[in-house]
Amino acid sequence: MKAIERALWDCLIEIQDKGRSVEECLARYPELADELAPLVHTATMVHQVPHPEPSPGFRSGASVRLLNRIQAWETARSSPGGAMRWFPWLARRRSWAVTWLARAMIAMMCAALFGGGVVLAARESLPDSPLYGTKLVMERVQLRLAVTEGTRATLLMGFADERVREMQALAAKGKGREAAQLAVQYAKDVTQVQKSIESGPEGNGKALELLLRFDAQVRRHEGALDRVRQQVPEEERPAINEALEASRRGQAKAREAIEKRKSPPGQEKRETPPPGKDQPPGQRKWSSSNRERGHLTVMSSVNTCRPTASVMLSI
Amino acid sequence: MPEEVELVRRAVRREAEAFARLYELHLDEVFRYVYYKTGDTAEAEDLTEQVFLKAWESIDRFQWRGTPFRAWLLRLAHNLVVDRWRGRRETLSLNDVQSAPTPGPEGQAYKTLEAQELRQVLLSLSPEQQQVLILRFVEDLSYQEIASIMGKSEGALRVIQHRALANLRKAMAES
Repeated sequence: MKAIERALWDCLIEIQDKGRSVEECLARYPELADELAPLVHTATMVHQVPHPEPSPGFRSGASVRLLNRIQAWETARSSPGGAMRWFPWLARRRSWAVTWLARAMIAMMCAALFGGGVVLAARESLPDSPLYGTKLVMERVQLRLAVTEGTRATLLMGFADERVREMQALAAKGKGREAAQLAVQYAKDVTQVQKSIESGPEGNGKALELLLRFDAQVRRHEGALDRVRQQVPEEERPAINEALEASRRGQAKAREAIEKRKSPPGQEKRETPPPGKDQPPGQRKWSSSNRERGHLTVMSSVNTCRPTASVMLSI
Repeated sequence: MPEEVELVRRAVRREAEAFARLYELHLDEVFRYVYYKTGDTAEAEDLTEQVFLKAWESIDRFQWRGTPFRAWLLRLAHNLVVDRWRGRRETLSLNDVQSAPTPGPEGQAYKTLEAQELRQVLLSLSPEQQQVLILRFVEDLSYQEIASIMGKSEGALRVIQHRALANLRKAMAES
């Protein structure tokens, strides 16, 4: 081994790990100093570069987001694909019936779980509670059970409501950092609601109903988030601002889509209830297809999982 | 460190909250490493999440053998970055990336560097040389940790480090 390699190695340990100066180190190797100096200076310069950091938006909700992804991964691991390993005969009969069977089983398990005290308590928990993880798992399970984009949007709207409620509660308890962490998930849920509504079937009267509810919801959120923003410390406000921005974007998109759907009295009019048969918005059926009816059957069991909030009002 | 040992123990038992805490502790280290390998903040953030998701999938295989948890994470990060390169034929290796030289006066080897400039000059080194410099001077890892991540002896690391710094200096002077 070359002497210079050994000297460089030792020198950098002295400087970086033991806090010696470059000059002290070079003085120990006078015969190699000319060759050593530029290399040590280069290393020192690299060490002193202000290194990049994740963006505040990424960092603020990082752990909540990771927990969601972990839960989604765990759910996927234990859902139909996983079941096939244990029940190979199911794999041989892979069909819509298998999918529905798996969904119904998960729905029944979910209903059974929600009958339990732990899950009931988890439903009201906040991120500072050990039960909060259970709450997030159940939310993701419900989301996976959603067959249509409409149901998915409805669920996500309920989750967004819940995140705002949690942020308010945490901010009131002086836990600004935890409140800010939820803001990222809120923004994500609101964006997903828009996407779900947008990718839903065109001309469906339910879409208009959903959009109107979403518009009212995000307007309500804006006021609540603004109050949360005033309660949290200065350094946590950017995350809340992002949530506010998502809420405003949601409002703008919803209004735009509402106008688009209202203007031509064409297709969607056929699917909205006829005049004179006014029903309260929360009681209307929004599709008569077999698939939707099947979905409603399953979701009625899911409904028992989460009887809170306005999540299932439309079903 | 004792806190981390306990967190890892709980995470191995599939306690997601303990793992989330480990995520918070090591988020910056993994992000930095991935950033210098990809050069793109959004991609680095995405890969950082994937590293931790991969870590969660395989955490029951993690064992304390004198290697800190962060060294294990950075090895996962390295493997994921390599997998992504393989998936993108057009940017198979960092060395294939043609980057614009950083403008500046002649002989500016000792000027103040920015992260993006550093990444640009690192591109002129071999992947192995880049890895040693990033792990040692960006991540502040000990040589022992670097040796365990890269599967190299300390003797081999000395040689790589010397060549890496000599090449880096040359690249900086030329840019």
